[in-house]
Amino acid sequence: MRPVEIGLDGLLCLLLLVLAWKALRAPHLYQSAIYFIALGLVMALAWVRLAAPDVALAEAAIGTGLLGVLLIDSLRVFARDSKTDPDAESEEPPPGEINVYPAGSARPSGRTLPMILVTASCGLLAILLVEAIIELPDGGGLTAAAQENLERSGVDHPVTAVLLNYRGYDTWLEVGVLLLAMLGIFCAGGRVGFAETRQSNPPGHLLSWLIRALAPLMILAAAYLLWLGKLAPGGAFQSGVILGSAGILLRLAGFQVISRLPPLAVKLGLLLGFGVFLIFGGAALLTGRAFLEYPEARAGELILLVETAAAVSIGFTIFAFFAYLNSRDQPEAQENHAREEGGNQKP
Amino acid sequence: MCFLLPARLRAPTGLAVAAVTAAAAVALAWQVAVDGMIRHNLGGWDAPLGIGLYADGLSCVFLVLTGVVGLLVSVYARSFFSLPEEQEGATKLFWPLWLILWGALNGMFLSADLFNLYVTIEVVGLAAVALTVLSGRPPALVAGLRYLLAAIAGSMAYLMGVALIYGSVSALDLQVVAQSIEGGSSLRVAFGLMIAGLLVKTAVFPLHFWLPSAHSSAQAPVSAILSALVVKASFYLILRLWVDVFDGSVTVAAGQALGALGAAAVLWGSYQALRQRRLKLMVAHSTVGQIGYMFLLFPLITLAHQGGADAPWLIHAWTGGIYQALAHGLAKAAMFLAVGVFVLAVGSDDREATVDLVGRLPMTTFALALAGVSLIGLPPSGGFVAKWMLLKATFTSGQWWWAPVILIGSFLTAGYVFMVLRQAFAPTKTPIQLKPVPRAMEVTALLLGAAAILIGFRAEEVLFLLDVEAPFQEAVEAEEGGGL
Repeated sequence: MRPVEIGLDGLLCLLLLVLAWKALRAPHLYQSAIYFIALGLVMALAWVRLAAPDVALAEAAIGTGLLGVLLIDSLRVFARDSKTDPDAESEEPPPGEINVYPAGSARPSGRTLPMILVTASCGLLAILLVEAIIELPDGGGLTAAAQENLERSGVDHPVTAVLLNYRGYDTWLEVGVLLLAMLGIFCAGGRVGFAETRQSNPPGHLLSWLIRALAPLMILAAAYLLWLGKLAPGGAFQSGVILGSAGILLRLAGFQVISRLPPLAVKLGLLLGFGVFLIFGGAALLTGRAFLEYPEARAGELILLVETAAAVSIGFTIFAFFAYLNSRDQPEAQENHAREEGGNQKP
Repeated sequence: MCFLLPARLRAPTGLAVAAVTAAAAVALAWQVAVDGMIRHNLGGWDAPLGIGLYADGLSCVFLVLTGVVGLLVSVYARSFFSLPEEQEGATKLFWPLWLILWGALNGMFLSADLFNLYVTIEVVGLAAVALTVLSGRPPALVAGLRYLLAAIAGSMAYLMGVALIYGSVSALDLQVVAQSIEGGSSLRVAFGLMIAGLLVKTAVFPLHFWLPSAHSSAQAPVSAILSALVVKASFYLILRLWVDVFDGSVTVAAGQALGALGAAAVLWGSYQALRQRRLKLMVAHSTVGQIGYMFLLFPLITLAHQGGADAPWLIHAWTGGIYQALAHGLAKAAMFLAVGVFVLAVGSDDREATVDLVGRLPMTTFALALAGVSLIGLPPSGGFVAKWMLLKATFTSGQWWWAPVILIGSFLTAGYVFMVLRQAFAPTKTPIQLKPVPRAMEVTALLLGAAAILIGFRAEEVLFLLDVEAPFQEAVEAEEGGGL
């Protein structure tokens, strides 16, 4: 390894530790969120250095981009709630600095016994993990086996082959996890469905023009990543996230994204990925193959089909996370929503 | 089979899917009982590369338990969620969430792959949290958030363990891993992480902090599902890892440690249950105690296994622990459903408000009593069979120190069950207005209570099913051979 590389890796390690510590110990949650986003970006670089570009892409898109948007948006909702709450203390934190610790108490001091215990056990765990990892044999894993069967899998990129063919069952369930996460958010919010209203203060002309111009490009990029997954890092998850982000940007610019579609289409979009896997798996069973087994000759096309469906659903779901949070803090939206829901009862 | 995962359908469809799923579970169990173990390679890829589904006796027993409890709870839930009082929040999401949860439970019992098991426990955990906060009431939200954090911490620890195992043996399939495992510190760490993560999810003392609030603040059918099935899922996984994957590397000390946690849970959970005034909290604490009994299985089987074939108590301990899981699943579901009926009718879940319950809601009182009998372990209930076998195993193995725990736990359980029943049988002069409760809800609670008693009579069938590909086959056969 060249000295430059060693220096780079050392810097990355140091940055990761510092950012993680900062994210934990920043005096305000808002700062913590920013540190956390930075941590995600550095982590993505670390994945690149570890020669795992697929993971790096996912980390950058989901761990940093999407999570960052959701964190900051949630904090905005908290800040608004504590301002409109009449029982709240009069000591308001200055705008942009959100204090979630109970009013009057400073950030809990780090010298309490639980804190020491937690730090000690984390340290112990770290030592054990390092010891365990050093002992691991080199070059293990199933990479060789995955490469060997690549020809029969219908794609040319081993990661995609693992995700969509060898272990498609896991991916199917993961798509289910996303769907489930959205249902869980509905439950926690205590209502079902979205309400998108025009924002009271739409962004300026330039921004909204820019977003208008960007959105089609992003959709194009998503499609490209999806196609690329066949031979290089990319694929349904990354593509879905970009699709979702395009929606989020449009929403931020004040456009109505989901409410333009009929509710049934939204539901179908959300369920598409999960459903196509299921239909396809069932069809494989009916034709005498194993569940989720691709016929070798057509594996490539079928994988692309399943991936497209998954990407659309992932995009929809990710946008749904945001739209739901975003509509939470608009009282008039909730009223609209209540009316809408009365009319849109499922048969 | 378990692929019957749902779309967004409402109650009648949900119920139909529930019936089909339960029937499929029973049919699969039948097939396994007749033809032996079944394995299905998903995607047509063999073990190290692909994921396998695998059904043996142990998985089938849990599948059938889930099927029976699941079907009856579904019938109950259909009436429950059509009541006007239970319409708030996102309750119309009950069916999709519950069916996904059920599908994931089935997937977990059938999975033969360490990483796939992680995905299924994640689905189970998320669906369970979503169901907990279904009502959107503040206490449920607080409890649900705590549950979410505990569940995620648990699955992260498990995942770290899986990563270490994959790094050291380059395989994820349970059988392949079991064959290629050799000692070493990375394996020990992996094992410790996985078991610790699952202990959090099973709510074993002292990691039970999230359970009472989550289970008691959920709505009645959800509480029943969480207590009867969801905690059993991670117990199943611990058992599976312990006997199938790490059976060569577990030590007696590790077994004793799990047993000690179990014993502490029995005493602490039962004592706490005795102290509660609110019925739902009492039933939830009782779950902590009853889970403890299941963990008494580990010291017994570990010692037996280390001692080689010469361990006649092994089969008692093994079936006793699993019987406890079954009996508790049925009894606890019955209890939560019965308490749910009671809360609806009376409008309070104070223990003292059960006055003259027997005259007002005879069927529900009976369900409560039957479930209580099984929890205490009075003959001829399923709980009795479980506790009797565990007791027998403690004495024949010479580990007598677990026996007082089992007995004291039973006395404490008897204490809280009878405190409710004493009130229930106390006559009162003042007539109390009751809200009408749908008949189906009372009947399903009673059926589950009756089932908790009746499995005490049908031990042979369960044992026969459990015998299919049992992990200790060699030991048992050797013992039989030695006897001849």
